[in-house]
Amino acid sequence: MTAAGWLQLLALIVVLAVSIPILGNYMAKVFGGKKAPGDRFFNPIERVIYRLGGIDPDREQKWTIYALALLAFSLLSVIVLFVLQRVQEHLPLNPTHAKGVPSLLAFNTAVSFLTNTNWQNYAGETTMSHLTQMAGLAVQNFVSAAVGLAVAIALIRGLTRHRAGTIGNFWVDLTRGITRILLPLAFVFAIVFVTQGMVQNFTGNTTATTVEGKSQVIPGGPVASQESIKEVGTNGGGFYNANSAHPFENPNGITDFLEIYLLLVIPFALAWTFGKMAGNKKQGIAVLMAMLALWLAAAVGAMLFEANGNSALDAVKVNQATTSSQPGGNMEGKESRYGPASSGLFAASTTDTSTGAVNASHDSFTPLGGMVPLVNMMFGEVSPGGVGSGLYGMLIFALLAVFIAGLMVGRTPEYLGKKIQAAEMKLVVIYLLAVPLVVLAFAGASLVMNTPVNSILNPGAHGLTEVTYAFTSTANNNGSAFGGLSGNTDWYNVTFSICMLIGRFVLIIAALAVAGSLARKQTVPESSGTFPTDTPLFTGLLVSVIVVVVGLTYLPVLALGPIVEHLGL
Amino acid sequence: MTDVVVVLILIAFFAAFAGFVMLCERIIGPDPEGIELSTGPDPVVDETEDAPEEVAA
Repeated sequence: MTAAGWLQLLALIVVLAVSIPILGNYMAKVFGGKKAPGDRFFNPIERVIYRLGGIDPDREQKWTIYALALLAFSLLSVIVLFVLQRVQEHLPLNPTHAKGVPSLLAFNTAVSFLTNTNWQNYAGETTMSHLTQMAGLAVQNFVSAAVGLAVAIALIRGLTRHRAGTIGNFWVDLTRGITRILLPLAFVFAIVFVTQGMVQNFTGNTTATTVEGKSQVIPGGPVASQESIKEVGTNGGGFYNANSAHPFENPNGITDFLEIYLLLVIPFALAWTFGKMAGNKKQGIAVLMAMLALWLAAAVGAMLFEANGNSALDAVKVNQATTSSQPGGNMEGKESRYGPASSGLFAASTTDTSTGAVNASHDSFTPLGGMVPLVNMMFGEVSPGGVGSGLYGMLIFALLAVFIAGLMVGRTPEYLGKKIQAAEMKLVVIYLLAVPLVVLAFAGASLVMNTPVNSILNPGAHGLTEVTYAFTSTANNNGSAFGGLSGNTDWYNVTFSICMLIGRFVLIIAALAVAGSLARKQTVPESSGTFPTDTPLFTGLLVSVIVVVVGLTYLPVLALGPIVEHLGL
Repeated sequence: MTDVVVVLILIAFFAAFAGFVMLCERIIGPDPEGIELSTGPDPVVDETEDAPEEVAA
């Protein structure tokens, strides 16, 4: 790998290391129930929102009420987004005269953006009006991220409260997440993106004549404003079909670097917020280090696999060396302005989070390079994961880790002084099994029926990887497409939607139930038999548990897919 | 017609999720100690790095 690749990774780590404590402390104050920076500006705005919504911000909710409020809000959101797509041709801000989106595609897209997945079975520039992009998709980019954030904060409260019957107020957490965290960050970086040449206008298609005398259609639209929240909210749905490989959506190396940074910063910072709200920063740092270790391993792995090139091309004497005129490595399906290292870093980061934005074709990665994003999603996207969903996923794994440690030493497991008992473990098991169940069941079903098999564009092991990747991506609410699979069919539109709904809401409900169960427990003081969860040993145990659990679940399909393909090169 | 079916399917999914909430509540069960729980928000425990309070102009 080139020095530029290593320097990019190093610069990213440095910028994140500076940002994480600042943002983490800020979010702890925003959700901590006391004074927070910016109160004088945000409080009046939020009071208006609460008054319009008939919300009493001082009234806390039991976990069941919190969950039902979240579900009611989500049901309303998904129906509004579905209807908006269906009637867009009759609404303003439609300069390209986009027709109403077909029913099942609108269903898939509405569910996709509701669940923070942003799987796209359509090309944005030809299918969606500007109004749908802004008032439908971009709005969901904010609120779906804020919902994840609210659940993570509720779980932190469950872990840190003592004999409490409530875990917060969903409407307050949702509002504060949007007004104080997502909107300010998205606003600032949208402007930065515009300064870097990203498109932001309300025009439709402009036809230009190229230097070769051919005509070219250049699609415009409000791209920068959607792009910033696409990354900040770990959403990933591109304005253009080519996503962050499109020069209007990711014009240069600076925007590429910023996009990677933005999709990582909130999820990593939330681990710091956890430590702060738990009253013990080391607890947060232990979780943060586990996230960092998995992300770093994936990033370096993907970068190296792609930078080292494709051995099948070596065999036919294709020059993949780094020279002054080419970046070297496996350049198939990659933008020449990013090269293999940056593409690998982007791919690892976008699948370590629940973002799913892409700046290269994952289908064209080397088999092992392509396996990295697949495995990242199989981990449940906990390193650092999506906004909120990464932290609550990692905390669920932490409960499993202390349970296993408790079994080893023969004591009732504890986490932050809360005894982890049968009820919590049942919920943890539901959480951990729901996604693999739908991924493997639907991927298996797709391989034994003619219509879904006909959508696979590559035969053999690579085709298996394409199908597995698609279901893993949708069920884990990532949304990145490996490629090589024609997903806009009735079968895939419906089954992907089911995966997205189960992968989102079963996990959220299980996490909130754990929060409710733990909140009412007494905090027991540490004793000599307590397994410390703020040490490097716990970080190592946590990483090991994640790797073993995921390995046991998915190793057969990985062996038959990317590993077989690699061995066959 | 398809639109109506899609909306009904969505409502059915969310009704099932609401049922799952109740199932989880059953898994948790009643509070074994049966004493009244606090309901109000509690403060952030770690206040060692509080920002200075804003001062009115």
